[in-house]
Amino acid sequence: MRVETGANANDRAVPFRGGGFAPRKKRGAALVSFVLLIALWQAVVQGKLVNPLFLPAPSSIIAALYALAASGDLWRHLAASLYRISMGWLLGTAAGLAVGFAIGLFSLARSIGLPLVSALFPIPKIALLPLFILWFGIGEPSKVATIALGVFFPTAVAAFGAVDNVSRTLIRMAQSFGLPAAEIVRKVVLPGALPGILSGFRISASIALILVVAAEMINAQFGIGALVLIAGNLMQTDQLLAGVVVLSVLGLVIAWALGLLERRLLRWR
Amino acid sequence: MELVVADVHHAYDGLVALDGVDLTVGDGEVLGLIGPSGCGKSTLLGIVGGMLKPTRGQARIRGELPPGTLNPFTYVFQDFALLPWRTVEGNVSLALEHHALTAAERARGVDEVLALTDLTEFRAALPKQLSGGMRQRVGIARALAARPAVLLLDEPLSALDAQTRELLMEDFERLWQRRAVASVYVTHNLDEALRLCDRVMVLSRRPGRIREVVSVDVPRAKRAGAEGRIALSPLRDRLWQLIRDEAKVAEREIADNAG
Ligand SMILES: Nc1ncnc2c1ncn2[C@@H]1O[C@H](COP(=O)(O)OP(=O)(O)OP(=O)(O)O)[C@@H](O)[C@H]1O
Ligand SMILES: [Mg+2]
Repeated sequence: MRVETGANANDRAVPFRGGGFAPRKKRGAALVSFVLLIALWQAVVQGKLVNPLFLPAPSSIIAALYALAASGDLWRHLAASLYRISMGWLLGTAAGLAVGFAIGLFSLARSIGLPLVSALFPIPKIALLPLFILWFGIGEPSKVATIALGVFFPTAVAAFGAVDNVSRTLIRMAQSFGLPAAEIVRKVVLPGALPGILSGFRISASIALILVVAAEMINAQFGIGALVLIAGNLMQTDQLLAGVVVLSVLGLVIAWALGLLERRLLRWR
Repeated sequence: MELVVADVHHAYDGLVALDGVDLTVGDGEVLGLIGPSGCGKSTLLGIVGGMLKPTRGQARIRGELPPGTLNPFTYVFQDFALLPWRTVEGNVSLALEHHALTAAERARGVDEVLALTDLTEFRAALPKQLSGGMRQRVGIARALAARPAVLLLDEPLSALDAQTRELLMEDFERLWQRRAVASVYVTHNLDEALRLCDRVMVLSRRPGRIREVVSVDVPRAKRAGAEGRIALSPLRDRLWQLIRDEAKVAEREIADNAG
C-alpha cells in the first residue's frame, strides 16, 4: 500500500499540548536579583528615603563588620558562639542518636522512650534556660545544656524514624545469611538509617543556631547573640545587622558542610 | 544429604496457611513449588530456611552437610535484597565476612562466584548502576558464596522482564549443571518450573496442602526451544488444570491481607 504523506486540504495538524510544568533554573538569575536588591537598598538609604538609624545602608554594615573584625571583637564573639554550638550540638547529638537507636531497636526502650520523647519534644527548650542557670550557674554549662536539649529531641526522633525505615527485607536477608545481631546493626541498620540521620542533622543544626542566639541574648557577655543585643541597646543598627550577617553566613556554612557530608556518605543513592 | 520437611503446619493468627506438608529434596535435586497466590509457598520456604517458626512439624537435614558448607539454608530473594551502599563485590562478601575465613580465602570465594555468574567486570559497580537481571545475578552470586546445602529461591525471576527472565533461566541451567545444589524453587510461572525443576510440587490453597507432585522427565538440556516446549506441553497442561480453578478464586479475592 502506498501512503500519501503530502498535505491535503482536509488535514488538520495534531495540536501540541504537552508543554509547561517543567520549571528550570536560569543561570545567573539568582545572582542578578541579589545584586539588584542590595543596590536598591543602598539607593533607598542614600537617597534619604529612610532613616539610616533604622535601616543602615549595606555599605555601613560592611564597614561595621570590618571594624569589628579589625578590633578583634568579632572573633571573640564568634569563638564564644561556636564553642557553645559545637559543645551543645555534639552532646545533644550523641545522646539523641543513642536514645533514637535504642527506641528503634529494642521493645523495652521503645515502650518507655517513645512516649517520654513525644511528651517532652514540644517543650520550648529556651524556657528551661532560667532553670538551667539555677542548676548549673550562669556560665557556659547552662547555655550548652539548653542547646544540647534542643538538639537531643529532633535527633532522637530522626534516628528512631530512620532506624524504623530501614528495609525489613534487608534485615531478614542479613539474618538469613547468619549475620550476628551486632553485625546486622553495623552493616545494615546503621548505613540504612544514615540518610534519615543526616537530614535530622540539618534540623538540629538550625535549632542549635537559634538556641545559641537566644541563650546569648538572655545572658552573656560574648557571643554573636550578645553582640546583636548590645548593639540594639546602643542603637548601633549597623553593628546589629553586621551580627545578623555573621549569623546568616554561619548558617550557610553549616548547611554547605552538611550538604558536602551527605554527598560524600550517600553517594550510593 | 537430604532435606526433609515433616508434617508442617502453619497458621497466621487463625488463618491456616499450611496444613500438613511433607516433602523431601534429594541431593542436588531442584524441587519446584507452584500454586495459586496465597497458597503458602513463601510461608513454606520461610519455615524451611528457619526464618519462620511453624506451628507444628519441622524441617530437617538428613545426613552430612556437604563439606565446606557455610550457610546451610540460603535464600535468593524476589526483590534481590542487595545493600544499595555496597558494591557488587561488597554485597557478595557480606555472605562471608562473619565466617572464620582468612582474607585470602574470602577473596577467593568472592572471585569464584563472581566468575561463575559472569559478574567479574562489574565487581566495583553499585546496585543502582545495574539492570534488574544483573542485580539478581549478584543475589545469586551472594547465595552461592555462602556455600549452601539447600538453595531457597522465592520467585527469583518475578521482578524481571520476560527477556531477562529467559537469560537468567539459561544461567540457572548452566549453574546447576556445573554445581548441583539441592534447591527449592518457588514460582508462579509454569514454564519456569518446567524448564528448571526435577520435580514440581503443586500446592492447593486455604489450607495449603500438597495437591500433586509431578516429575519432569525431559532431560534439562532438552527443555529449551521449540522442541522442548512441545515435549513439556502435556505436563504444562496438566499443571495448569491443577491450578486454574484455585488461581481464579485467588484472583477474584478482595485483598485484606496482601502477603
Ligand atoms: N505475616 C502474615 N500475617 C498474616 N497472614 C499472612 C502473613 N503472611 C502471609 N499470610 C497469609 O498466609 C497465606 C499464605 O501466604 P504466602 O505468602 O505464604 O503465600 P504465597 O503462596 O507465597 O503467595 P504469593 O504467590 O502471593 O507469593 C496467604 O493467605 C497470606 O495472606
Ligand atoms: Mg510468596
